[in-house]
Amino acid sequence: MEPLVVVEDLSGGYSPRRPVLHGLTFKVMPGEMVGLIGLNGAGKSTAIRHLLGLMKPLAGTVRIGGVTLEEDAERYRRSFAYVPETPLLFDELTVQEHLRLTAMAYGIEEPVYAGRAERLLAEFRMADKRTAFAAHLSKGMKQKVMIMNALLAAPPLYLIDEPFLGLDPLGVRSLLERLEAEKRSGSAILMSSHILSTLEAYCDRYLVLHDGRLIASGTLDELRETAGMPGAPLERLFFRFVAPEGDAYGA
Amino acid sequence: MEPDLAALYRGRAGEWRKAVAPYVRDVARSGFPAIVVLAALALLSGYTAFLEDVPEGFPIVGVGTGLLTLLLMWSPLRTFLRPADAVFLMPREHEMGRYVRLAWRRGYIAGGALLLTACLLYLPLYRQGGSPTGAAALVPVLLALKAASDAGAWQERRIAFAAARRLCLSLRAALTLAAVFALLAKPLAGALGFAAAAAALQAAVCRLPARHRFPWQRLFDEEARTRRRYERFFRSFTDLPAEGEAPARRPYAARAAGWIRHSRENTYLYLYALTVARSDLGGMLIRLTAVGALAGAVAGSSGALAGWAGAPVAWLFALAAGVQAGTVRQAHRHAVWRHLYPLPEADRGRAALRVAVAAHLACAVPLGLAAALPPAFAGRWLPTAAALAGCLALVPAMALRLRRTLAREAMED
Repeated sequence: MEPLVVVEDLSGGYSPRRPVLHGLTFKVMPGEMVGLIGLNGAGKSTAIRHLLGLMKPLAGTVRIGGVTLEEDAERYRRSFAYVPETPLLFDELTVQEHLRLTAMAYGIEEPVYAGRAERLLAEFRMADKRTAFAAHLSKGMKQKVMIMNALLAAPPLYLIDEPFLGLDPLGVRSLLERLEAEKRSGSAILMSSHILSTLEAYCDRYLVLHDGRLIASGTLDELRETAGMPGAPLERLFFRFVAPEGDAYGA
Repeated sequence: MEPDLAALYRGRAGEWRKAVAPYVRDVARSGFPAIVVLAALALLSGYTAFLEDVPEGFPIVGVGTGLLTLLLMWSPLRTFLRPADAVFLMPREHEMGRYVRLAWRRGYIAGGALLLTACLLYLPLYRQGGSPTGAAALVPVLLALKAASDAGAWQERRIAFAAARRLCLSLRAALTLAAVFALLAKPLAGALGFAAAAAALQAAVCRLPARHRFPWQRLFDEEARTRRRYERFFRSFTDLPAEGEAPARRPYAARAAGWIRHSRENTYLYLYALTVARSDLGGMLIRLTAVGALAGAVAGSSGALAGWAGAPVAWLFALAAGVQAGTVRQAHRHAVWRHLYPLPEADRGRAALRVAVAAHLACAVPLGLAAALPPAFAGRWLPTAAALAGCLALVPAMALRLRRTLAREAMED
């Protein structure tokens, strides 16, 4: 099985003189959910921005769906859907119109779009908001629209940055259930979040970023083995990796 | 030490002037002021010809009442307040009177100047209608009414609920209309008594609904709207990044986007159609068409220049509508969506062109018809055909210009 994301020796940032990321190398396979974790400023969002193609690598390569952005921009962009930390919507479009625009952009046929849109609107309890302008939605509802856009596109890869901010508990549950379903159907998910207990319950593997470096990666058991903490929860492992001498829980 | 609020207001006004100065220079260089001056001269010439031969039974008082009421009701308030002031200025709400008084004074001077200009234009016509009140008495009374109306507008801003606010606005409009009519048609003493009673009634009614002590949110929204309007205007002449705009639903215009075939190549077409229908650009095109149609119809009806007065007015407005419609190409030019979603970039320019042409045509037809019908009713077929054909011919001409602009911008990108 070919990996969906291949990041090789990626160094990047906003200035060549002060790189934020240092030699990241990792893969994401189809059908797996990978948690990207790190403290504020660790480089999680910068890494995601490099994956999105919003930033040029200073060194190294990023391949999604087997191609780099330079090789085939259209195939690269159609291979993933992105849910940003801060919702990005057009103020003058309604919820339903955003879904239709997304369907058009991803080349989804109208009958397929109509069925998926109805299901998503019901699932995320947004059916009564379908004619509301994005400008008039709460932060959580805007985030739901971004999530629905991503799920509507049903791409091979989901890039999700802090998806739970502003979402109500039912919204969080709907999102996680849908991501589970997408994973079972073969999609890959790379999700960044600070809510480690949720990631622990849903993710197959983890990438631990610290000061722009990948300091640990693997399944929960592999992380426990690396840290020498058998049976420890993800949160304790995380503290061990990022603050080995000052573990908030004590070593 | 806390800054003096009057100095803060003056500082913000100065910063605003400094910020827009480069854009004002761009506007000046564009030749737009010359077009405005030409249009004003054309209208003035038509109006002068009209004054020399005012038709029997022309509703002089009715026209004056409508015009002056509109100017009295227009009460803009430039506060320069931004949402961050909810943190920094809200604790000083008790002092905000000083700040708002400067904003009010600025609005009153602008509104008063416009009112005086309108009086200057209207009074020669008014004298021909056997005016019961002289200009020397009329002007100060109108200026006093303007002050009362501005005060009423401030009280409306303070009203907490939209329904009550709309009710008070409607009452103020009705009372102002009646007071201006009384002033123009009745003896001065009686009219003054009526105006005073109307002002007292308005003030009493406006005190009944629930009111904010200081309408922060309303002023934030109003200021944001004003900034967007300026930005939209300047964007016609220069490349200015767009800030968030409050959309308008306009279902009659947005319905057109629903007719667009669901396909990937139409993604931008769909987006731009909704953008024009819902954004400030759509509002501006609608206003431009309404004002242009009215001006074209009035100029055409005046019979000035042997029935030709309406055509150039319609052409000018159709030209302005074309320029405005072309600015749709700037919409979402810097949107992050372009980098995150697989939007068909190759179709972006074509979609902007198609939407701009459709919007321009939707403006040009009513503009042409409004200027063409009055001479047609008078049996003057040449100006009729010229008004309509000129407006319609501008659509492909502006499309060609826009196509070149898009090609140039694509090269630059």
